[in-house]
Amino acid sequence: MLDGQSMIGKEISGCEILTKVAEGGMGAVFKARHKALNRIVCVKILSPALANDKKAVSLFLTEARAIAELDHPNIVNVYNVGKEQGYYFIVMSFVEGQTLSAMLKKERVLPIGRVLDLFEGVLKGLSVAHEKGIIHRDIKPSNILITPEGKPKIVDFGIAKKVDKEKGSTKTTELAGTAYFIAPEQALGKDIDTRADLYSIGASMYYVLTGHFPYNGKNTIDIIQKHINDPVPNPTKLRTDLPGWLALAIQKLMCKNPNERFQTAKEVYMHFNKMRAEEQLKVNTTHGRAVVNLGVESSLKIVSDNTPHKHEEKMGATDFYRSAIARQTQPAQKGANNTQMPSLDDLGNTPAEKLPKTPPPTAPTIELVPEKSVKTATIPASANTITAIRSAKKYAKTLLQLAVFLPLVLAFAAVVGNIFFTLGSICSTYVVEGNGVLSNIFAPLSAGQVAPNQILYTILAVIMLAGIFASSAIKAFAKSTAALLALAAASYLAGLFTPDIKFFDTSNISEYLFSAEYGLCYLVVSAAWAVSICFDFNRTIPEKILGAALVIFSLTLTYCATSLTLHPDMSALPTKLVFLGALLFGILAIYYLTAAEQGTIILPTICLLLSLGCCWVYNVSGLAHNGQTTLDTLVDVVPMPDATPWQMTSFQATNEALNITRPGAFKSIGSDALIFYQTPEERLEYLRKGIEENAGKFIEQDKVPFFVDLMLAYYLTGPSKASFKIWDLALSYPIDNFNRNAQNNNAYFFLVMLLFIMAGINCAGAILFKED
Amino acid sequence: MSTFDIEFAAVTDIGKIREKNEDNVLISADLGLGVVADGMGGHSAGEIASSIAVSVLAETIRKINTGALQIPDTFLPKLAPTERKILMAANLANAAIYSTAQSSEIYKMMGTTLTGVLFDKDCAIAVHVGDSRLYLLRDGKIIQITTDHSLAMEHVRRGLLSKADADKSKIQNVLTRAMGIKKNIEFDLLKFPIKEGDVMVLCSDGLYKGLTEEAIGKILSQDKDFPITKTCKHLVRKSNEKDGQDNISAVLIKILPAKKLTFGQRMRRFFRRGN
Repeated sequence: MLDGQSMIGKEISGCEILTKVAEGGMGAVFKARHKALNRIVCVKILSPALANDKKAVSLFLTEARAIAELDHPNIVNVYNVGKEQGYYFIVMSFVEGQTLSAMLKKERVLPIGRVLDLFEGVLKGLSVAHEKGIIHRDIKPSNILITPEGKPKIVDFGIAKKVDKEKGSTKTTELAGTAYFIAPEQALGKDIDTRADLYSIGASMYYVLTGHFPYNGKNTIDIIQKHINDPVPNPTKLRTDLPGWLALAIQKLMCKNPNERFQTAKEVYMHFNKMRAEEQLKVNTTHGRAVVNLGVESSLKIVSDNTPHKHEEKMGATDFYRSAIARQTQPAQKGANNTQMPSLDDLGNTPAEKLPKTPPPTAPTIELVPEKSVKTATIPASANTITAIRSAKKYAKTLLQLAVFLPLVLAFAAVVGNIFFTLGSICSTYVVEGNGVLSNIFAPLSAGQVAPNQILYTILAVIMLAGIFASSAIKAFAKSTAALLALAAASYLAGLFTPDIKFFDTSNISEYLFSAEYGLCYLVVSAAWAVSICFDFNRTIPEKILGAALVIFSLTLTYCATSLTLHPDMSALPTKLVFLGALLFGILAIYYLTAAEQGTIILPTICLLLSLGCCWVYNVSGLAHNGQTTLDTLVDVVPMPDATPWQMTSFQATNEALNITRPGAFKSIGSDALIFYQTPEERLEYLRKGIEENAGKFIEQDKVPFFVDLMLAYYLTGPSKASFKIWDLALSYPIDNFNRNAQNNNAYFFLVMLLFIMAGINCAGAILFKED
Repeated sequence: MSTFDIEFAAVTDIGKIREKNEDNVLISADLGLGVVADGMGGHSAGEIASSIAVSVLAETIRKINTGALQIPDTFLPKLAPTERKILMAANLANAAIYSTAQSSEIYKMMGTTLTGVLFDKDCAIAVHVGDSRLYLLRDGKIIQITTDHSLAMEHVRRGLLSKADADKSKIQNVLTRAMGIKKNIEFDLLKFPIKEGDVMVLCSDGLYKGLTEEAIGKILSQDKDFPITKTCKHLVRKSNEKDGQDNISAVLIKILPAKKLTFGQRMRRFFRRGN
């Protein structure tokens, strides 16, 4: 709206806008031609952003009118003020020439006499304004224009800027005044009077004479606070040819307490005149050896307190974040009051007192002491105190947690293992050699009679299982759950299949470390570990890598441990599918474990287990296939003379065959009865005889009993149950092997030991690498 | 989400003399978020800045929660997820205000304060810039959690001004940090554990100009058995009676006892935490 282009050519208050001269927060200044007078003027237009604030506008107009009344050669004349076309404007005389700061930049060093001449003019102008009760509020070299004739003119009376100062005014990020020249009382927000301008005159003179700002700092806040707090600098240190009286006068102008300053502008220039007359200071234009360092003087925009404002633009996002992190991560070491403004410490002038250790966040016992709060050390602790404490305390806490939880986990694991082992050894009475592992595991559950201590231990085991799940709610236990569950299972199997070995007898394990049976142990451990990583909600990158490696390792182990001499039939489609399935699920498991979104826990677990299962099935499929073909051949060759019972699918058929009544049929037929032979013994005897007669012709003699069993299952229960039996035996073949050898090599307890260690490691890991 | 049940209430009032309400408040129980923003700038720019601040903040958090928005891995990777979430949201809000401010002359110089609290498990995470405040009432004692980013408070921090003088000072409304003024600004991030029975007050400067810290604490303690909506209104009304020179906004947050979990929730939590 107020961009230069749209304004140019417009007519405001009889002035044609020509070009834009300058722009500031309050508005823009244009060069314009007054049509009636045919004279070049300056038009200042209030920013539309401020134009809607009624209070701001009324102040703008009041003060502008007051200045318009001033008619002084050292003050830029104001011709007209008002509102036109929605714009608030001031028409002022256009001054050719340059600002004092521009002049200083060009000429590097100004002779002292010249400076005094200029400031005498400025002070005279200021004196008139002060008499009318107008305070400039922003005296600085760039607000002093020097005409080509060398006359100073004060511009930019703090017109709109007064707005900010009024009580109850709106919030702003700008403060009236310029940081390098601001009076302490102005910087503190106290009521100011004309003497604040005198301070700024002193600071400006200091700058013009020495080429240095009286105070420099990292940022505006820092500079402002130096104006309030730091001793008045001595300009003679920077410019040695400065007469002593002038240095003293500048220091007097810059006194912190207005009462110690010169009281009026007039008093100042009278003093100057008097002293000059006394000294008859000779103006020596060649006196300019002092090095002039021209800083940039800009309107006081409060910038972020951590950034030196010169570098503000250069500081990229990364730097910002880094600095933010630095602040966030070290609050405990820093005091409560300086965490947000660390630059203060670096200045070294008022280092914050070392504060006592921050109080624990849960118990804020901060006293409300508004009066004393002036001192940095006693400001009521702000939230910084409450920020998380990351210090040595944390490590002590971690160690303590380790000392408490690690033994707890191990003890718990030992109890779980023991109970499940005992349960297993009680149940081992139901184990039938030659049955598959699946049948044997479930045999105790379907047993007709149970011993009382079996019930007791089953209850204990269930409680333990519940305990394992419940313990996962404790963070330290959370990652050990998979290991504990696997440990429970392994202990149960150990009891079931090797009941004669003492619990946790690991005496001779070192001999078998690289045997095929121990391969299964490694498989269980790595799979359990992989599952426990799958079940982590927020996996870190190392965890992801470890997880992927474990998946691959488990698959390889499964492949090796279950590999049999009978190779799978790759020409069959299901075998191919299973093989591809193993690969696919393995890859999916790795994908879900690593690349997928956080929070995916079920999918990688399922994929991993499916992949391991497929691999296992693939490897034993050769054995199962072989068994199935042999059975099929035998069934073909050894036919049963009469209808087999599984063909009689209903009682109806039975009734028809026997021509008996229904209740009679119930009496005479057991649900799995071979109806032609009334007693089970008779039935079995009949079948066995037939099978043994014929089977010997087709299979090796030592396998006959096995196939007699199978064929009995086939004839008594049907082909599907026979197939199940074949698969049960095939699938559990590696485990059967394992069980057989476990009687000697203590493989089960090696496995239990590994899981025990793993539970401990996972617990320690959960404590050491916990997210905070 | 928090393990506690949390009650939210918010009230904003134009005050006695202002023509517009430049404050904006937002509470969201499902996000576990309470925010106060106090806008500044001529025209209606202040309102716009503060409304962008609260809406972008809440919207970003919602998007991050639903997965519609991902926090870049490079964004403050050392902080906890929730801390990154709220900082990311605050930074986006700042960028949105800044770019709006740059887009038009009317909006130029607009800005806003922002004080928001996000709850996560048993912690409250506050993000803060400007002179709105977060108070915490715990065990009958009230403390100010946030530090004002005003020139007056900078002076107080350096011991140049007493807290009492600062409260009366004219430069109290000169902010050293605000949203929308710069492209990148620094937010204060404060994290503290919450306790059953805690009451938090988020307020714009209008509220504490009318009521001292002690007065706020007293009202909160007196009204402790009333519904917090009522207490919230009470606070704003009292402040308006005493001062009323500015817009007054307050968000009240009360931490109730941890809720009993159903079996399903317990199982879900178990699986979510992982083992």
